[in-house]
Amino acid sequence: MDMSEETPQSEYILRPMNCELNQLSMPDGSAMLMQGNTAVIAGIYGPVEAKLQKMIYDKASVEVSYSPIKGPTKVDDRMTEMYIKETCEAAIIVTFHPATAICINVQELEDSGGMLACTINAACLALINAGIPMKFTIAAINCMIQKDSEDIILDPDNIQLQEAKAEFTFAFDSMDKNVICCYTTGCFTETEFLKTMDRCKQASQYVFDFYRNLVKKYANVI
Amino acid sequence: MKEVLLTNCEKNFVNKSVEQGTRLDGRSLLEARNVKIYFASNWGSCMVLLGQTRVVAQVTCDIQQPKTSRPNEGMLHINVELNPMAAQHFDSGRQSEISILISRQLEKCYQDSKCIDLESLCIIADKKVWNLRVDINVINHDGNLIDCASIATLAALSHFHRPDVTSNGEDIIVHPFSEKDPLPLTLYHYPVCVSFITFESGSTVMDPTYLEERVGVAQLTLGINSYRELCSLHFNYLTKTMTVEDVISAVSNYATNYAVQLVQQIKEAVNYDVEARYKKDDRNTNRFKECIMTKKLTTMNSECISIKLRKWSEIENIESDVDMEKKEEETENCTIIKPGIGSAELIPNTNISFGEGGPNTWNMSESSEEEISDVEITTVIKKKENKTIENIELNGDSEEENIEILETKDLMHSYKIPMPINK
Repeated sequence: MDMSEETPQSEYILRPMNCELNQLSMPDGSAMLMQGNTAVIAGIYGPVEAKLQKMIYDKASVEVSYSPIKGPTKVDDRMTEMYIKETCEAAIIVTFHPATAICINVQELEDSGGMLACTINAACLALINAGIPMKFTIAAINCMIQKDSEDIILDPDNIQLQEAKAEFTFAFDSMDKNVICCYTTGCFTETEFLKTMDRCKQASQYVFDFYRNLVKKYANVI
Repeated sequence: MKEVLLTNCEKNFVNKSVEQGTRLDGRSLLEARNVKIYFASNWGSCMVLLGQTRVVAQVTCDIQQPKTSRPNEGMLHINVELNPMAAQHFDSGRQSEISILISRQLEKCYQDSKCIDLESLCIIADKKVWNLRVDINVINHDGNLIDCASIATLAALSHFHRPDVTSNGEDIIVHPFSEKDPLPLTLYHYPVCVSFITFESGSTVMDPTYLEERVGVAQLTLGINSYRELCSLHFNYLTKTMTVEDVISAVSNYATNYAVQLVQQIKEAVNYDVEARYKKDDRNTNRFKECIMTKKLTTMNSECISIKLRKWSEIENIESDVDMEKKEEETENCTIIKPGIGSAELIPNTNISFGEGGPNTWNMSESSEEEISDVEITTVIKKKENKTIENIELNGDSEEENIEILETKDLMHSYKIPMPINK
């Protein structure tokens, strides 16, 4: 496969990532992440005492709340919560803190494309900051297929997304680069799906590098 | 989840220190915390920091039918959401006592004081008016939520621009921002809340922190506008222990002066950002990006990450080889050690730089400086080498693309030169 003729080099770009850990004083761990203009802030409380109804006797229960910037929480936001919950639960060693709760709270600040990927990345960074034991870290990548040219664009912004035929969000683990979470909209063929997945998998390495550099900056021993 | 209990030690400590006129964070009794305002890239969205307290506000608008009692006026709704992120005991989705209290106070301060020209928001009387909605999300709770929320509301409302509408008989057309310039809201006056907490000892403290709020016995919130007029007033006993002497008259003058100053600061920040947007000049503005400070230990900024996928690397290598050949032709006169294969391997390092606290500084300059310092020590050894170094520097200035390859040479040089010293 010759990719270079299909797509020009400039298409393979992740928007600039900016992150600050521990910005908030109240939560145990927090991270503000910006990918391009998409901005998210995540805060983690945990492990804390769980409510009786939600307590699981042999593992920690992961509670996620996602609040949009506009209006009350809608069904879509509940779905985002579910995606974050399932993704983070796969990474956290839940059996380490039985009968406790780990609360992940995410607040949307600005949406300009790739919101789900940004929230998952921010949640992962906040988990790192809170020192919750994890099996691996998670990196989520958003990408789309353009309507006419059939190009794959990594990490598109909301202007590019207007011309999307299909949009994909994949989350990978840092150990084996397995897919943990996959969210798609639109129509696409199987080959396109596999191609975007492969593309995102390779791009995820750059996000993992970003995590590592961020942590390396303040942790002396790695 | 339950709120963390307040210990007697903390309580006594705060009470005693306030009695002596000091506060935990080193402020004097009537001193507020610093206010910082950051704007998002769309209209009417901002994040306000009052010390550690952090609030985001977003103004949105849609077209609705007006109330029958006021057919020619637009509507304004203020909604306060206490995010469970802000504090452990906040519950998501449920309206708690505090959030209702804050919403009501903001309504009194902004809606009931008629600070917004709602008549200008009418499109067709009795049929279509603009409905403004202010969503306030508290992200971090470190006391004095009401002040922080009021600053955020005022900043967001004065920053907000609504789309222009034209009407042709029956239909109304809402123009997107690309067609017609958006219009700002008209504000008659700028009210802002100023809060105080009174302690058992009778001393009053301005802009209380979370701890002080829990220890205090009475709270007072004044809504004051820049014309020194009172817009709202809220006084509440937190405990039923004692009656507090006349606080309002004691602090009102001070509060008014502070409110005027604060409104001025908000106006300046909003005007600065709005002007910058009109000019489409993004430099030196307070956006969310600036909120992430570059020089902190816990921050990381990266430029656009350009990605080279595996299948790409081959093509890249060929390209860089071509570059190398060109370079060699250009710099024939200087004696350079062959770039070799190493340069091809270096490409990812130079392109994907996770700028450590700032924009991408070319490695070239650093290494050449090092080299020079090395050479200064070992000038006796060879003059020839000095010449080559000068050449390299010139080349580095002339063409950026050459830098990748030059760097390897530099590195090799710098490896070579210190050798004699070691011996």
